[in-house]
Amino acid sequence: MSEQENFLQLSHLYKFFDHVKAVNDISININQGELVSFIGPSGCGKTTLLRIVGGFHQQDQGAITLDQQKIDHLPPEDRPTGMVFQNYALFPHMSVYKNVEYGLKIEKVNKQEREQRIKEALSQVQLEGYEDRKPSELSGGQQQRVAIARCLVLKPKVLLLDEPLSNLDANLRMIMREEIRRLKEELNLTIIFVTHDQEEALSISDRVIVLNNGTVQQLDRPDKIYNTPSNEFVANFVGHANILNGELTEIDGNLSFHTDSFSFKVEPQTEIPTEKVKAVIRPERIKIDSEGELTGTITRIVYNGNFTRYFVDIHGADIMVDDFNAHGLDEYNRHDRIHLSFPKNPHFIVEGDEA
Amino acid sequence: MSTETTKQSRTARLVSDLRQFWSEPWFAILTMVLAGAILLFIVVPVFAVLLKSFGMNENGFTLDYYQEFFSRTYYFDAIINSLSASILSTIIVVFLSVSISLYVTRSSSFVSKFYRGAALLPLVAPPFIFSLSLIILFGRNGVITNIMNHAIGVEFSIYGFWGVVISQVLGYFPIGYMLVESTMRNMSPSLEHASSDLGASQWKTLRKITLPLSQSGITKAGLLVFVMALADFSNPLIIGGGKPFLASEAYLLVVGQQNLEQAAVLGVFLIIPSLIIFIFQTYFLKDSGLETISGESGASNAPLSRKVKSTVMTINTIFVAFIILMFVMVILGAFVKIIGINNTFTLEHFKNRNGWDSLYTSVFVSFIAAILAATIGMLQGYLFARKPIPGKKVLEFLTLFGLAVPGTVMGIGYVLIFNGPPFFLTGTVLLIVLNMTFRKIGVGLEASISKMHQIDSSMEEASSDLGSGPYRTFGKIIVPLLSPAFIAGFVYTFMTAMVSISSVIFLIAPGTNLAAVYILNLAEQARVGMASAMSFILIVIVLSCMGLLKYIEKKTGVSI
Repeated sequence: MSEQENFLQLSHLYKFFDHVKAVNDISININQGELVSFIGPSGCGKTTLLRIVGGFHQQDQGAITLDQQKIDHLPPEDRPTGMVFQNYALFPHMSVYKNVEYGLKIEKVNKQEREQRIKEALSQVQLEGYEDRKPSELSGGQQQRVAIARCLVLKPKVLLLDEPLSNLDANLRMIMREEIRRLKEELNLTIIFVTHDQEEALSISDRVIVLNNGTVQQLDRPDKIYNTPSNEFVANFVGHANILNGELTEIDGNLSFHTDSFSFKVEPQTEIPTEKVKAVIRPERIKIDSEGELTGTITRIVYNGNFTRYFVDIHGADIMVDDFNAHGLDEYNRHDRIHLSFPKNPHFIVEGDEA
Repeated sequence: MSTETTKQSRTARLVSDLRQFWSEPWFAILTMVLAGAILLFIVVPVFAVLLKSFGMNENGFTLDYYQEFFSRTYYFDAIINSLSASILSTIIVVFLSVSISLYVTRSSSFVSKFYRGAALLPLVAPPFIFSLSLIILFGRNGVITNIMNHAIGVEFSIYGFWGVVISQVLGYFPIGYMLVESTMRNMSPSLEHASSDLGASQWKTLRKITLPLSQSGITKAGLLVFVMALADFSNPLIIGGGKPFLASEAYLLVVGQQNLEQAAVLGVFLIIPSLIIFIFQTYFLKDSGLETISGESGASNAPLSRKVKSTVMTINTIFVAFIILMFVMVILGAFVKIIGINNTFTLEHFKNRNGWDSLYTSVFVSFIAAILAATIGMLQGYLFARKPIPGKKVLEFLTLFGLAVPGTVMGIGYVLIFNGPPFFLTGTVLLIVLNMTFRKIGVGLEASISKMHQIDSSMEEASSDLGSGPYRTFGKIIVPLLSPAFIAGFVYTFMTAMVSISSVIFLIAPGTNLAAVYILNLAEQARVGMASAMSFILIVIVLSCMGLLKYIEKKTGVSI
């Protein structure tokens, strides 16, 4: 299957509500067969952006093209997009079958083909045998599947999912994540997935877009977002991070990072910023190591099952350190002094990068 | 064996319920007083009417009055007129309610607020005010009648069946409209969005999604309007042009001929459809199972497309303009000598001692009734929602039944019961207050029961855990939380009591006239100027009370 680059193009979209810039100059290109997540805190504009793509909000400025056709002037009913709503929006007075049939009837698909396609869609979401149930007789996960089938049956060019997993319990959420991923692979779907759950976004997406205050903070592969956040907001919003203010200095060819409290050696950089920088260090990248160059005192311990988080005081700086519990026992206690080794290649953010 | 065990466990449950019921003796006593009052002031009068229709007193049981009823085409016409006028009014009200709701639930513009305000305006006026303005415009000497007569020589008159239908549509519109609008408002907007996302045009979405899902609200609205129109007797009296209608005939039989038995028979025919509808609504009308899930970000109803919008706006504007025209005619009628004939400004219609006295009595009586109804509704709501009261389903049914009984029937029942020993309450202000109160307590009850369901019982558990007894918990926790329900009950009872007429008209005596009844008498005598002036003052009073309440709402942050 040949995949089209820049299948869905959003260019310079703006949307104002009164004086709030809900969407402020957003341009994104999404490829065919790609699953892209929009994440961000509430009010960041992610849902507004999704609704603009679906046609439920009209953008104030900007253009949307899908499969080389301009769609931004079309009402929702004429757009080849399919939306799965947060509350699923299943029609309560219709059976599962009728719900899925609804769009096909509007398209005036003949009865035989309708039956065929409904059967196919329901089997894709593994809901064969539920045709005559009413939505109220289904569990949350099943309702979700109906909502997806109702869209899939119309073969939309883009599937829009608005926080689809937020009403499900934790286990079901994991299962549905896999399901959506599977459907995407099997049917080569192009999907936009809105969520506020960063872990969900990292695990399900081909690419992630972090939004804040109506602007794109970063658009990248999940691992890039996590490991090389483009600014402090992304570093803090996605996962946990120690963010250290300081500067890089070179003495005798050895490069070190200096904070007000302590310093540690880092690998040579291709380009050494002269101004102040921030080092982003994920807690799991700091090792408890008897050979470590820095020492600190444990002030607080949070046990998390597979890992333990230690809060370590290093000359007045509060540092998070995650230790994987490979041995099954707590190894350190509060007030213990431990040696730490910092990664040699932390991710640096040059100050003033804040959008 | 097994039936015996269930029987035993049921008895055991009842015993434990009773024990718990008595563990808070004040609440128990209160409940019993309430139950007694509901029986006496709602149930007994209705039964009295039923018994009276069979001539039950010294003569014993007889079917004579039914025979009389069926032997005269005059009464048969009354049934046909009443039913067909009510059905027509209902259909028109529902149609217009949908049209206005469609616009109002999708726009917060000035136009939307204007529609809504105008649509609710009839609430503040007596139900027969539209008859009055229709007569001013289209009566035998009406403003428009005269113009038509002079211009094209067409002679017509609004008196008769169609006059009644138009007046009923205008008068009972707000009740139907409020129900339809709230159903549409509560519908999750994403359902309509989903429909359009799946390719449906707006007409299609309306037909396939919006209307089917509003069905329960529309049915409720229709049934309620039907019951009210059926019980309406003032419009047939004023504008019916002598055509018989059930409620107005019943009134004329009581007042004109003192024939209570025959009036009771008509009352029975009024109450049967109301009762059927009430039972149907209570037990068979299921909610559509719509749940609105909160936290739908950015979801609001899609704006109407141009095609739909222009259609509903045309309908809405014509209708709303008509409502406003009706009010304007009454106001003009109040301030000119004889509207359409001698249009010189005058205040003479306001110089009316009896009118002002009746207004004063109405305000006083309605205020007391509103406080009573709201208080009882609140107490009852709390007790019914939380306490294991034996037979509370029945009591709740009977309380709400009070709302469904046609006013005429209730009025006749009150005359039958309280006219003699041991009560001798006829003609007293007290009886009028009791009548207004118990006909309306259902509203306060429903408001507070639904409010109670929103209040988690852990709130009371926390209060008692912190050492508070049941009465203090009620006073300190429940009463403040129920205050919106109290205010809702108060406002509703006050407004309806101020303009209510069908029941209290039987209970007034010389010296204790009520404004609405007095205006009706003026209108019947075609004293249009005075009737308009009194109506105008009544409307101003009700409107200013509403304004005052809105002000209190703003100041205290209690939502009404």
